[in-house]
Amino acid sequence: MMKPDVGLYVHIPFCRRKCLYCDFCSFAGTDETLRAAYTDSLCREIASYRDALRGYRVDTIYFGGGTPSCLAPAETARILDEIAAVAEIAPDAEVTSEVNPATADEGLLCEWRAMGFNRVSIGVQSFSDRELAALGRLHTAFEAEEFVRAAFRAGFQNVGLDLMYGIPHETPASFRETLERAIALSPTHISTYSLQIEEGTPFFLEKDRLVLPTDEENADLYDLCRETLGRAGYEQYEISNYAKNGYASQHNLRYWKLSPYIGVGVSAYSYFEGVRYGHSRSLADYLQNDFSRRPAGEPETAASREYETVMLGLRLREGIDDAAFARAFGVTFTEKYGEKMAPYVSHGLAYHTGHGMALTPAGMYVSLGILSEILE
Amino acid sequence: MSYNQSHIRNFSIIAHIDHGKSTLADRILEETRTVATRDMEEQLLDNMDLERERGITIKARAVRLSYRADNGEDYVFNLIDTPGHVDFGYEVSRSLYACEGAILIVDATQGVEAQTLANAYLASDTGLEILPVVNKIDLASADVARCRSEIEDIIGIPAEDCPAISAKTGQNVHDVLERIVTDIPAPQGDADKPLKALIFDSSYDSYLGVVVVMRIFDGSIAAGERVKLMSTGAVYEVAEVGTLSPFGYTKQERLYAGEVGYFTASIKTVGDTRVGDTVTLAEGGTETALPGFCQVHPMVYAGIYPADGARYGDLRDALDKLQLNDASLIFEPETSIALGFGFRCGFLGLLHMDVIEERLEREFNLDLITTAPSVIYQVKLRNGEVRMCDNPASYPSPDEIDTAYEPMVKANIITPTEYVGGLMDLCQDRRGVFVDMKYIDTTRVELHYKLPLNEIIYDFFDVLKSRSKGYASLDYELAGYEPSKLVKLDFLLNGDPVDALSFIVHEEKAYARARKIAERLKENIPRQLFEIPIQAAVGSKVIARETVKAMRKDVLAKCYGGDITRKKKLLEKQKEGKKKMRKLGSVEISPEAFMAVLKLDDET
Repeated sequence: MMKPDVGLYVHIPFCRRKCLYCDFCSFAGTDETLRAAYTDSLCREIASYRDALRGYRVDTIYFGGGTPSCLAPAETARILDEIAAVAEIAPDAEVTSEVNPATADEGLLCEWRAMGFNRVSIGVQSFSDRELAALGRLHTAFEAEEFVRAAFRAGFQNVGLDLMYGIPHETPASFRETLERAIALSPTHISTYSLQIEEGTPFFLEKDRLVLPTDEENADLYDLCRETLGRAGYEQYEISNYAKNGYASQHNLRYWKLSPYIGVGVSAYSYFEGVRYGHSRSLADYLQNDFSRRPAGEPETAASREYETVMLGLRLREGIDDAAFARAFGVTFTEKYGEKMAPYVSHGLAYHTGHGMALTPAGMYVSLGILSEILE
Repeated sequence: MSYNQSHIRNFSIIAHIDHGKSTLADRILEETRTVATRDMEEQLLDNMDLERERGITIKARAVRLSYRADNGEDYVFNLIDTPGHVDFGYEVSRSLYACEGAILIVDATQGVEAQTLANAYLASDTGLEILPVVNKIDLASADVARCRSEIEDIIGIPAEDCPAISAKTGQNVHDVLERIVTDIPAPQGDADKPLKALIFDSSYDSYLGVVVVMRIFDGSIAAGERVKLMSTGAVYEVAEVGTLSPFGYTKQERLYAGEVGYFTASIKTVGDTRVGDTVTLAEGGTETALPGFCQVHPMVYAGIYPADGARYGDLRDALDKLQLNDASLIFEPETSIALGFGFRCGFLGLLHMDVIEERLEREFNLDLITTAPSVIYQVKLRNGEVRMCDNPASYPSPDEIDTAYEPMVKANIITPTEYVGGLMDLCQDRRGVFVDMKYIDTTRVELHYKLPLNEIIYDFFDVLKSRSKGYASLDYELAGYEPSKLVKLDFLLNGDPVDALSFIVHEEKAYARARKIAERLKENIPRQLFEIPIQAAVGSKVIARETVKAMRKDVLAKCYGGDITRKKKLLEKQKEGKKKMRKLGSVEISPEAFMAVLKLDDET
């Protein structure tokens, strides 16, 4: 019998420097002792899942951050070894690491490839030097391009680029150039997230001085993005994610499809065996954790699972499948929500897929408004 | 003090707003030692906070004062305060009827104003002795001589030696008191005749119940006697009689002809007593009631809704409580598709409406949505039926209407000459018909216009003030109904009519109004997920159109990663925000935005 699959997320909370917009749990500086202690903790936490993972097969592994490329190759290898020691890893597992062009080189990429990584997600953000500087990134557009080429040379066939729009000083023309330069590099996957000014970031403090696009301009950038990428053969499979056929991020799809994943590391979230739980953002707490117990979490209920299924499922281009929905909740999505969705269907924001319902690209962009109407 | 009718003086103080009525009343209270200076709270007579804040008296009040005159004799003064606003014209007329004299205050820096004139005419029509007083002589710009000659020229009463005072400093106020004794006649009632008393105010006291304030013309009244209210024929046994002091009620054995005081009986609401009604004995009473009684009817109607639908019950209780003290406020439940459950309320005028709204919001802590005020239209239908209509929702459809009539007013505007042009334009713009124009002197003009009431109730007064830098004054009285080309203007959002936005307007004004409100709606309706057409229509004809573009904004698009609690929180926050919104058809709008749409300040 096939074992159920599970994803594994590994959080690496170190960066050479924090970007001005970043709200993720990460700490500037790559102190060797700290890194070593953190790697120890990570390995202990992974080991603590030995019993729990019995009977499961890990089919996606994702190193995110922070900047995973801040770890020494030996540390990364140790973590992968620990995973392999406690869990069965599927032979075709998707093993991804995020990487920052400023903290890695072709040599590191080759080492990763050798360790078993088969996908990299490169934090490019923009191909405009001016915008990169505005974001506080530590690399230039040219360096990023070179890095993408290096990833292919290193043997990665599945290479994703992370881009951003709504950056200070960005214009439709500069964003188009970023998109075109991205496309020219032929990555398999492109994420384009809209910049959000988060509390507690340097951007938040000076938000009144930042020259940011208006909501309308931002929406135009979203349109520009999906049109440009669409023409280049990238399918929008989620609000902010585009991929060439067959290259959707298997790990990220777990989040939207309510497929289980275990997150290890400070601030990492898990959805495992019907419970959502996560670590705090305190590095000290994490380093002192003996992992005898998992973080407290909230067991899901049928209602919460349904709520999440709708909330997350409508982010996906494929939408919600009536048959699957009915298997889980005893009623098809169309039966239960069709009437509430009707006005959006008539205004071109949602449509019937033939086996369920989905939002159109325009509907995805305003999904919060739609969800807040249809969800109880 | 024993009863001696020849030593009673019943009088009112009348003035244009801000000419110092309340200040003089305070000084009189102080001078007569009715209130020690240290106990004085400014403007004691106005005992509602709101009145004090706006510097206007809303409800009539009466106080009894004792005064030892320079001749050594003791006098009883009954100072009857009158509401100073045109909305309360009938109440003013009844208060004046209870007096033998009136002190007419004129601000020495302003001269005679529209309300000065209106009040003076009302007092002299009532047969009162008018005692002019020039006030504010402490101000540098005071011009006593000019003021006196204006009083003589315009009002036509001798003012050569009238007191010139400063109610603020108390200067010469003593002269006023002496003139009250010498100039205002004593009442001429007959205490042996059957009781004949005029109700000029009533209020609700939580201990005494309804307290009826009256002026006794003939006869006397005491506890235990059975009295009859002549307009309704209702009979009550008097529980208590007494006089009013600034601090409350003073019980008395018996009140006699010429006196002013109150009685209580087991009367349930102030609505059972009517200002202007005559009180007499139930058995062997007078045959002839005092003249001038009439039932006051609201002139302005509006729908009042709680911003939070769950507070409908609170709103009802609050209106009930206000009505205890204000028989002229009427209301009945009303349902709007757009606004839910609320009340259709009738008011004496716009000020009355403002006051009620503010009291509901302040004293009862309610957030309200008020629909556009409407006057009462008269509609003759093709089938001959005549209907009165105070609510656009019940306005007949155009094909049923033979002729529509709207209420008119005679407006009297006094203004410095330099603003005449602007104010004539304003009146013209508001469909006014010029009657005449008189020069008061070389600097001021009195303008007479006939205007539709519905043009006055929105913002006429505010515009008048702004166009005249605050110098022009206005007074008006109702002048019957006239045929008019009225239409009902409806607004449709996303194709659905929004009942709460409909109103009646003159055909000529419909287009401009429609455009203005459509624009306001566009500005105030938050963008929704899809485009919303806004249409203004008369019948089935669309006369204005705007579009609210679709909202294109989403924070979910910005969320990444496995922590879905964040996304959930954003979603919950969004839903919380929606709860406060009102659904107008399929469109959501906040109560604040709704009010902004209805605010008809044309000149801002």
